[in-house]
Amino acid sequence: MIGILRKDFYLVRTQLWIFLGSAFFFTVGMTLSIKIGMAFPSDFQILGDSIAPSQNWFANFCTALVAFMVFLGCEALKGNLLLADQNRKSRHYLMATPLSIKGCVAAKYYECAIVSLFGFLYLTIFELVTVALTGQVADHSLMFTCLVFLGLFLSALAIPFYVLLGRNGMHVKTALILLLLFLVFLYGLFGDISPFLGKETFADRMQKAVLSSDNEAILSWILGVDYPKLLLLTLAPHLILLLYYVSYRITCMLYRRGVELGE
Amino acid sequence: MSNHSFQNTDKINISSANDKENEKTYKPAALKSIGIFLIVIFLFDLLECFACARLEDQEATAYVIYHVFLFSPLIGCVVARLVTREGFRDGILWPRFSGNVRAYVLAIILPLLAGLLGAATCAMALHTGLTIKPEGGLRMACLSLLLLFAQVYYVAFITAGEELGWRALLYDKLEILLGTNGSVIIGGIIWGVWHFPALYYDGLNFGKDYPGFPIVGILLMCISTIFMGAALQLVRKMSGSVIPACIFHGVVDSVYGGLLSLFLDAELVRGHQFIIGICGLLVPAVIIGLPCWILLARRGKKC
Repeated sequence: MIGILRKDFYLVRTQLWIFLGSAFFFTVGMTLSIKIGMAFPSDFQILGDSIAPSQNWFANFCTALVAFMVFLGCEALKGNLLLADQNRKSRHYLMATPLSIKGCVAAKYYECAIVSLFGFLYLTIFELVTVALTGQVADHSLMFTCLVFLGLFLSALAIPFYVLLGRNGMHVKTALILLLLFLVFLYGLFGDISPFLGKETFADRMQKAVLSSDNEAILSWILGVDYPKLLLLTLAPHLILLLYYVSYRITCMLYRRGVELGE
Repeated sequence: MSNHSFQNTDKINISSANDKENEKTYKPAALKSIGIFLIVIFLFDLLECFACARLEDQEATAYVIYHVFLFSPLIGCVVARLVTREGFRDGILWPRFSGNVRAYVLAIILPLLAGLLGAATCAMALHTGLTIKPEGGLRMACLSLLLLFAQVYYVAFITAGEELGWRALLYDKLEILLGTNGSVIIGGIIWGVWHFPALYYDGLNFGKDYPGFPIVGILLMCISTIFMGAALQLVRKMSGSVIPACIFHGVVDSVYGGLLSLFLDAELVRGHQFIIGICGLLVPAVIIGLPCWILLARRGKKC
């Protein structure tokens, strides 16, 4: 199994170097901007008294931006890893190894999890650098954890399609995201949106969550929802891992068919 | 017959010769690994002591140093494995799910049991009764527990920084030198002493207001880490992977404290930190750790 992982990461080494290089320059650029931003007096009263003057909204905003960029980068890298064998039509040979289908599929799932974990590690290190630079303690671990699980959720949905349809699987992933957005839009038009229309609008809450994006802001947002949704949110990480496993079992069933279709 | 017995004695002679050869090869390497590891982690300990003593007014720098300190066993493990050219070829970072589900289940159940035992012992010691204290009752209690469980993944990631040092290097190397029991005792003592900055400056687990501070605190911490280390090493040995140990440690750090706060009023806790430290940490660690230690020793003998 370790051999397959090594092979796949070797096959995407160019993208990996690009990703690591841009992460390094991005870190330097962002920390410099934060440092320069710190030099100016912060009188940004976007939400009145809700953001204390001591909190540096610019550093928080930069961290949220970096987190989002890393999330996108990780997703792109996962796509390349998943297509690494298919581009070279080498899956027939892999199936003949003693690892068999289960091992080949498990390797893909491990690769996606490893990329997500390294994204998380990078963000944790970036935050420590930011704290050292700004001199203000901030904890964004909850946001980073949410992004990791979102990445795993997307992978769980996408991997079966990648394995079955190859490059076309990417279109299915895009279609899934668009469908999700369309459903959210439909809910916005016809569903019950009263929970989002309080004293603070949904946009206000999101803005506050990003600009003062420490754990407490996100936790208070989570705890603001009603009981069944709160239950779902607390169970979400475990459900996502379960979905990841179910997706692995489905992909094991689809793998041979995917190889025949693709090659 | 005589020929057969001759062959047997020959085999025994060869295997004992191999063992001696292996001992000659492995023991100095293990000693070197342990030495490098200890130098690295105690250097970070010194750095953390310096940060706590001198950087009280610089909260951010102390925060960064604290996080690096948390990952110091991992750094020590990586440095030791790099210097001795051992690498990570033993596959200890691999999850190894298949056939090892029992280890993963134990990694979740044992700390929960320890938490419940700790809460019960504290309630008995403080004469409060084992009732749920938050205002929302059972529903809110379940919800807060679920919230704590959702945090386990993040906490397990942080505790991986410790486990990759203790379980993925120190205990294994000590086992080569001192056997299973020796590795549990000496490993536990090193792990306990490593907590010195947190014990002395932050009053971790036992507070600061007790007779014999901080020596008594360190001794108690060492006893609890010896027994807790046995339980952690058991799940690590059962699975051949360090991941269940990370989950175990993650559940201890996130849910364990939550269980205590679920059954104990905040007002009661104030001023009784030493008693809560003994009843909530030491007693359950011994009760859970002792059977695990016995099982671990049996496994060691079988091997």
